[in-house]
Amino acid sequence: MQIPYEVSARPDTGLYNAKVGIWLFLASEVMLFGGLFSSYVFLRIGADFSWPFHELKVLPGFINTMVLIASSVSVVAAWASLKARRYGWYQFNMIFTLLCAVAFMCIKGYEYKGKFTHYSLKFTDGSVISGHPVPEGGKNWGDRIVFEATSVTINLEKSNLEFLDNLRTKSKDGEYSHPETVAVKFKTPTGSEITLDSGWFKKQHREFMDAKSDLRRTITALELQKPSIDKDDDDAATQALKQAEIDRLTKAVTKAGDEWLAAVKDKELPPTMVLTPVDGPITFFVKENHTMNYGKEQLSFREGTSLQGKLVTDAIQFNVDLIDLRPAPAKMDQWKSLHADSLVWRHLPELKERFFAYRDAKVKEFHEHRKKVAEPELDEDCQRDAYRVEFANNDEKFMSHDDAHAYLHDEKHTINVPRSEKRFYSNFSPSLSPYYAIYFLMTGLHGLHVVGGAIVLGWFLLTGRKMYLSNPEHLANRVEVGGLFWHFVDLVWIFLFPLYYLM
Amino acid sequence: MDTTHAHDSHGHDHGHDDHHHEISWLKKYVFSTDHKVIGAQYGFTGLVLLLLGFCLMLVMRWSIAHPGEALPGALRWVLHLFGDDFVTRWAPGGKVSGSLYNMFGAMHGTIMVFFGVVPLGFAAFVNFVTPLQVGAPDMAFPRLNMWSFWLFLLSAILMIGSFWLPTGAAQAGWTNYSPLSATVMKATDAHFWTGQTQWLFAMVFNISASLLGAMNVLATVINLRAKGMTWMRLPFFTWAMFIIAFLLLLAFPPLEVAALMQLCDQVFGSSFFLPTGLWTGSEGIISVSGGGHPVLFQHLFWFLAHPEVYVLLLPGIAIVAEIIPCNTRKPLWGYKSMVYALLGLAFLSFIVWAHHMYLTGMGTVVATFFQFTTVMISVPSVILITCLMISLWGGSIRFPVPMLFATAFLPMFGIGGLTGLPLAFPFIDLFLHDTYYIIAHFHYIVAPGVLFGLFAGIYHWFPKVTGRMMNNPLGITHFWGSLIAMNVLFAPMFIQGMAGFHRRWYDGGKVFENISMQKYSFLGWEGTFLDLNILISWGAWGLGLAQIPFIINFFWSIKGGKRVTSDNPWNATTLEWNTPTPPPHGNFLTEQIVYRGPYEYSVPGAEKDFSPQWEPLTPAEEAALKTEAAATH
Repeated sequence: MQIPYEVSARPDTGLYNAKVGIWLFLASEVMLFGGLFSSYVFLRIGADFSWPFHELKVLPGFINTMVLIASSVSVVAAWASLKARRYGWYQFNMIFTLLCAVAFMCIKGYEYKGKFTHYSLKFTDGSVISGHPVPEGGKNWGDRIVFEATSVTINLEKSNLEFLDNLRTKSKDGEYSHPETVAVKFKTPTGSEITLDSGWFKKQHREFMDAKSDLRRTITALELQKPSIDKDDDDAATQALKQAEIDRLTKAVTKAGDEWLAAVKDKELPPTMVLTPVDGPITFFVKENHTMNYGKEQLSFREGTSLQGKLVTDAIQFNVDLIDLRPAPAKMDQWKSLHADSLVWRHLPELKERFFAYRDAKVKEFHEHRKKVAEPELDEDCQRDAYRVEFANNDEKFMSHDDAHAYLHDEKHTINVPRSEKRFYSNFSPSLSPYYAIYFLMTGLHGLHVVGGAIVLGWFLLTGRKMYLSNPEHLANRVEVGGLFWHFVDLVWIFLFPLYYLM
Repeated sequence: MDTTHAHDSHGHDHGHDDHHHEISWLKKYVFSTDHKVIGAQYGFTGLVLLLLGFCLMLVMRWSIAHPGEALPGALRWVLHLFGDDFVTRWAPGGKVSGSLYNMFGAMHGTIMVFFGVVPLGFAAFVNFVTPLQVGAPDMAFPRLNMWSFWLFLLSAILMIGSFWLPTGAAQAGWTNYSPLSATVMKATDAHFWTGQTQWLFAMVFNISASLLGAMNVLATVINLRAKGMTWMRLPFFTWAMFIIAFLLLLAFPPLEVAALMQLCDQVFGSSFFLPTGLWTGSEGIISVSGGGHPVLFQHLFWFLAHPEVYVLLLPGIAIVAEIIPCNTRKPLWGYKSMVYALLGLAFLSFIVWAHHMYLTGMGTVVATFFQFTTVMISVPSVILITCLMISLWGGSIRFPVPMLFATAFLPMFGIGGLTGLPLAFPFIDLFLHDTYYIIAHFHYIVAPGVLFGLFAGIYHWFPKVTGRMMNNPLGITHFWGSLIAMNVLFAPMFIQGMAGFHRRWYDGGKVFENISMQKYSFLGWEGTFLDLNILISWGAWGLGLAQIPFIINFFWSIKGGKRVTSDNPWNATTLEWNTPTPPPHGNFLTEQIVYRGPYEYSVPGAEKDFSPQWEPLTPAEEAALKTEAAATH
């Protein structure tokens, strides 16, 4: 059996099958990215926070644009070389295209890495700082919560021992480090000594779950014996009889539950078990997203374990490189009075005066520049210039470049922000704001398309020789179809670049 | 030129059917690239999943009609499908819990729409019939076709597999609206791998499979039509499938976007659809950045889901449009206007989506626009159904089982369609939104409408697939049982809905005293609206019983049905009846040439009452054509 028009074009449509296919596929891709671009517009128009713009560095984006355009040219050249039956040129152009793809992804990776290691902290009053948490280690805990536990309550049903990742060992001179192997000895409620590791835990967990299923089966069997009372058809006597039966069975259910509890206690399988560390209190540096909630004397992990003891500190050790006092559009009236006594100045008093001098200069400059704007401070562009300072990148009016460098690398400017003062804390990842969410989603999907396209083109390059010798036109068709996809990927970037880097 | 290339580059496919080598059972029936086997795989999977979705509904109906009572053994085994522990976890004491009801509600809708009706109605029929109808040896991309099926199967396994998760399956309705879907399982210990997350993964795979499948169908129809098969000689069935494939191709990507965004919200903690300051009972103000828009999800969802309605519906119409001319022995009335109506319908279906969202407060201008387009879209639908009705007029109709289902399709779809018209108007929709009226409206379209069309198609093409007819008495029992049960099931829902009965009350409205005391009176019958729940549930049990003859018939006839005596048992005119029965790999024995339109039944002067597309014109017909051409010059 042979499918017609696999290589040569059908006379009336003028297309071979794969070309029909790729155009249709691209139509659906247009709808995919169309949906994303529409969502961007929707999110930006409806944003109730100041939408970040001009925050991405243009240069890497621009280089990437050029790289992709170059690769689009070379993929056409590869196809033309095949049409002219010059295999060597085809290989050369294809390799160039693939190198461009690799370069694009490397630059993208560099941009992403910078964002993942950069953090933003929003205070409860809405003002924002960003920078880097102090790396954890030695005497520093960075953005972790420090908790000293005198006992640990593990949950045999839910826990997966994730909490042990947060355990730290303390050296004699008070420095903390990640233990190489977790081997803390604990005392169980009945007095036996165990080493808490996954082997022990899995065994207990399995036994507990088996016991629990047995209980559930017993209870269900009892429940199903309960008769149902039909208020219309049953007479009073029958109803009373049935009610008695129901009561008897209800008691039986309670009894089964109590007996079960007693039995598992004997077997050291209570649902929760308090373990006491044998060698005295142990210290945890807890990642905040591992916790469910915490207080001065307890901390619960989301996986079900909880610690009892003492909260040492929950402050975030932070090096600031940006202050942003722009308002959320909805909070306009309050903002003007708030920014002068923002929580930022509690931590960075030395910068307050400098900041407002800078702001006044910027507002004045803006006013001279655009006289028509009656209230410059309500203008989005003015706010961006005057209320957001990035130490290393703003002009000398705020801080000279050398000063900024010195400032950012001086340990004494590290601040400690208690978690009670923060509303939101995240790195520049999708969780920071819908802007970064859609930025990562769109550029990430585009990056996946680049990788996918490069894999297909690479496959044509590596395995093309045999087909070239038997049927060069077929290979040319394949490269043409792959090239069409490659152009589409390029075109998407041509739209993404101005949208994210320039607008 | 073609064939020389072909022989060079495809050594392994060399030669013709008469001397192709043995292929293993696994390759022939499991990892097959043959469009007919893939069609059968889709069909079988679709039927199994439809049955599963139906069983979930039976459990829900029990909870509505008999709230707080333990499930009877006959229904409890549905829960045992998902493991012995499932009953004790989700139905303590054998009673349907609220979470279980929500889970089954969400999964019933999802399975029926995305894993039952679309795979059966579109994927199965299009795969089996369309390449045959256009005279092609296979789909344009057979291997891609196989991958689409396996991707679809993976998505189905993921979706059904979510019942075994510690959190259970998704519980936020088949529409999966945010922020409910983002928060309903947030307080569980499963972190982010919940039923909701798995639902999204399954949907992303399902959508990708649909996109690849749709692209394949379009390329097949565009490029693989036989010689002489011009666009206006395409059978209406293939036209409809062609349009559906376009709808899938263009409408599904925005849902894929929405699903990816929800995945981001679930896995990476972003806030695409979560507003600032979102508060939940279990967590208080939830710890995300906020700043997103729940309504954005609804836009993306319904931008797909309205065209999806036509993806569900059109296979029904397409199949009925094949069966009616064949059994009235008359041409399809208004073939061309039906094709143009189809195009209009497809276009309009992209600009009506927000009529599902009147309740979001979109403002009168926007609402008026969508009201206008929604009323507009009833015009092409009515053209389609009217043409089918007129096609019956004056025919000498025979009534084999497929024709029974096809004729019942017309009034049933009519009820579903006409009851939808009032919903186009915001002032009515605000009242009826999310009531049982809506449930009745779209179930009349999908159940006695579309499903009847699909049953008709199964009975109609079964002899071509297996070489055996399905049993007639069992078929008739299946038909009458289903017809009566469906109406008992869905008609009372209109009455309940207009009384304000909400679609998501898991106890059937029992706690709402107002509703439970209200009485209705209908054609002399009186009762409370709560009593109707019991009647409706009887309809559901009846519908379940009515499917038993079908299941027996289906499996028994594969081996034991009456053998067909010709390749064209219904004396039909389209190309699929010109293959050997069942069609071999590669389909046709000779190259197909098409000489005439698809529905030339009872042509005046012809010897037989049908003139198939593959029969050359008789000298008399040619002479008539020539005089006609001369007259127009």
